Amino acid sequence: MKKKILVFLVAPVLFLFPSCTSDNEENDRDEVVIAISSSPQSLNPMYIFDINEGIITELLFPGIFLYDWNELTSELDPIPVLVENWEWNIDSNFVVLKFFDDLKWTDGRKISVHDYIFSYHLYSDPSAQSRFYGSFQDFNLNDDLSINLAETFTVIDSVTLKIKFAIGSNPSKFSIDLPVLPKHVFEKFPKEQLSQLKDEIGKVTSGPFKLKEWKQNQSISLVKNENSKLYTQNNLDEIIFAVVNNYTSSISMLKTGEVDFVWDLRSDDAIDLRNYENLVIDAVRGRDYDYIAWNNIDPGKYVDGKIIPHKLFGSPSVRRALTMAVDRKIIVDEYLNGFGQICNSPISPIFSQYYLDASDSLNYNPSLAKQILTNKGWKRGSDGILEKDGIRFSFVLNYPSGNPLREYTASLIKNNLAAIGIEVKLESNEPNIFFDRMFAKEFDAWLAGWVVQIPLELEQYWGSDLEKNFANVASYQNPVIDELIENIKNNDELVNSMKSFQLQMLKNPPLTFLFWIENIAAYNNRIKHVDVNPLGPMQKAWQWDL
Amino acid sequence: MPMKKNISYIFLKRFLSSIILLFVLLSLVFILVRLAPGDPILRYISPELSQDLRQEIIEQFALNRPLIEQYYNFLINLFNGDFGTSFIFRDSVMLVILSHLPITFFLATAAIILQFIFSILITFLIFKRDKKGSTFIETLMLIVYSLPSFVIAIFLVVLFSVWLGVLPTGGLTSSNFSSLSEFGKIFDLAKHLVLPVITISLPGIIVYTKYLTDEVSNTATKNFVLKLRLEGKSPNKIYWKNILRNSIGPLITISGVEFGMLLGGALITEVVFSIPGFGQLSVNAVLNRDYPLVTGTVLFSALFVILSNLFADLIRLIIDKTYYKSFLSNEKN
Repeated sequence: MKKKILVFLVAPVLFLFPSCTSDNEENDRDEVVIAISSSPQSLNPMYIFDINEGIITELLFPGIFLYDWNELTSELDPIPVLVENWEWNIDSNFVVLKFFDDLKWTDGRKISVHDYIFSYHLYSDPSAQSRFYGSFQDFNLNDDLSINLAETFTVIDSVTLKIKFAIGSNPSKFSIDLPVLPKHVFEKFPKEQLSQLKDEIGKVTSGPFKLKEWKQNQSISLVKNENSKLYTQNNLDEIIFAVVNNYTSSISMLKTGEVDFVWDLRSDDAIDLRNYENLVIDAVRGRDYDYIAWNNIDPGKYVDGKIIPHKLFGSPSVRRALTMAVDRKIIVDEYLNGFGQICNSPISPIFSQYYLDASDSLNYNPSLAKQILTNKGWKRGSDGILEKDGIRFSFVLNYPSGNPLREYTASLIKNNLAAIGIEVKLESNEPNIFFDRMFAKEFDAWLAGWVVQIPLELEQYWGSDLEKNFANVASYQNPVIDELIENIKNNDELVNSMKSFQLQMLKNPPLTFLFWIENIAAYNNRIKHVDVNPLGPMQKAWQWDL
Repeated sequence: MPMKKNISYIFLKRFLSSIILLFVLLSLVFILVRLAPGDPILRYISPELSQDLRQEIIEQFALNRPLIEQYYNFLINLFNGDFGTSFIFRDSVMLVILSHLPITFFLATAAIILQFIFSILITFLIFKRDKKGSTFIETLMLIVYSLPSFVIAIFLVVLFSVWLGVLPTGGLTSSNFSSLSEFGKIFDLAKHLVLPVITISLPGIIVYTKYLTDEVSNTATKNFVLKLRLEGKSPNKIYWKNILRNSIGPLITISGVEFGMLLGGALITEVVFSIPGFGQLSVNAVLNRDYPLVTGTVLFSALFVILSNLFADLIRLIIDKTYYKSFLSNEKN
């Protein structure tokens, strides 16, 4: 009897094991499997709010251009995808687009200017609630902020379109480059249903790929689109985005060959993965930076509509001293293992033409930091904590939970500031609560990060108008910076203005910029021609080869 | 009153009290999630998005309405079987939940079956072994039970996937799933579920075994067992036909609770093995402050526990006549 039981216990295991795939079989696949950390909910460009949704959707529905990152000019060079020619008039108040004459959607229907107009109409329609709604300031608008089609678009023929912009607007190539949707597919559905469509969207595309299969919450398979302008014989046949919610699992799957590509790696994993011969580790200078925000104004008074400098962080000198009191290099060296660099302003080093190398500024110097604080009237109290006019230099540093790098950084900041007599109490918050309170400007000090947009957007983050620029969460107000932002917007001596902007950020820092984090990707060496660039490691996935 | 009538009456009574319980629970959840800190439309707050869009979304989700009005609308919709639209999925809450349930249901069912089978078999081995052997098995069980699920899961992944390379690390299917034959697909799915099912089953197997061992030891000392032994019947036969049948009752009751909880989602297992189940859905709903989805998942979780308990009681009543009397007197008290 006991033997029978043992056989019963062991048999199913023996039955399943020999059938399992070996690494070699995994590597013989014709497709590339990419691990993504969250499950896309939509492939409709109107409703993508997640980075993975964005990456996949870009491969299906490009705009009229795709872009190459130009290292020298720090600009995006357009690669024509849907238009062969675009001509701006001299004062940029209209543009004429000439679409390729021979372009077809994957279902064989011709791509025309009507698809383009339909897309812009849908994006700006308030009832469709697209993510682009409210962002068409360069266009002639109706009262409900939808684009006035009659005043804006003039169809010259099925492939030529004139777009007229609002008087006084400042349009760029990005204003005319939203994803183009197939009118004949989208117009079949009521607007209220568009956000709920799944498989219906993605099969008729103009990008280098089309949707093959979408297994909800598991994977999305794309196959090459032979109708695309980007198609060549060498295009990758199939690309599968597999949802692997757990970061550690994605690393294990990369090691076992179940997935071929993982990005946004932690530096210690990157170092470990270097030991695997079948893997390539590639990193690109980052667009992500972490910072310690010092609320420039009193959060309690701001609730009542009053703007009063913060009792601890209101002075630029104090903010400079706090930056000098934090050993940022040790984080870059020890935690990021060199996959990062010290940050001194929101202008990323990827913008090489504008980047000001200020690596010698605001370096770790606790004695100088202490001196500056003493000069500002902060003296040691009886308990060893700095005091001024009866106010102790003590505050709570908030940070979002679940991020090991931020937890490490928070502890380091606490210890560094304690060394110069500042008391820091750490408080981690569940991310949803943290960001809600951060945008409400409720914190005194907090640890967070931003991703720099391409093209650069500065006003939203650093402009003094706090009502208009809600991303200026530290409530930084500096008229010099406002003027420089205006110059940058108008391309007035762009390089000089950019460098002056960075100098001003060193002189009067809004917060403590900590470090740039490199974007690290690891992939199986059977994939060739991977281009990990500042626009993302998968931006040109169709060019990959096996 | 005849037995069937009695049981029907008791179950009807339980059903009605369950509805009241669910109503109170849902009302509490409805209010608490809205009072809790956090913003359900945080994903629409970004420097890249217009603030006009945010306002549109607030109006669409009726978040600008007074709480009492939102609650009134919620009740009206609930009575019409409409749980609302998920903020994250922008789809019907019911459809979202139903799309996540099958895999969790499968995992829970497989786990319960394994827990039953293995606990019965291990108990038999303990029953048959000498004291030394039993102590060894019990110590081993205690060690495994003291390990958290995620440690077991990671250990299994490292052993079977990374070192031995014989089982997949996670997910539900292989990348070439679509090109497999029907048999191949079943096989592929089974392969992917081996480690999650083991992880999810192990703690239950140990708890069940512990309960069953105690019950079996107790039953083994009863007079009727001694009488059967004296009559010269084989100990194996006595175990399977008499002792087990008289000891398994409490296990059925516990399995009712366990099954309901497993259906509520085995979060750790789902996260480690990247299984898009009900547990992950519930947690994500809370983290994203997806109010309608939170309410929907709470309702389903509560329903699972209530129904699986009822079901377990029903099975026990059918197979264990002695339970009927105690059940009846408990209900009347």
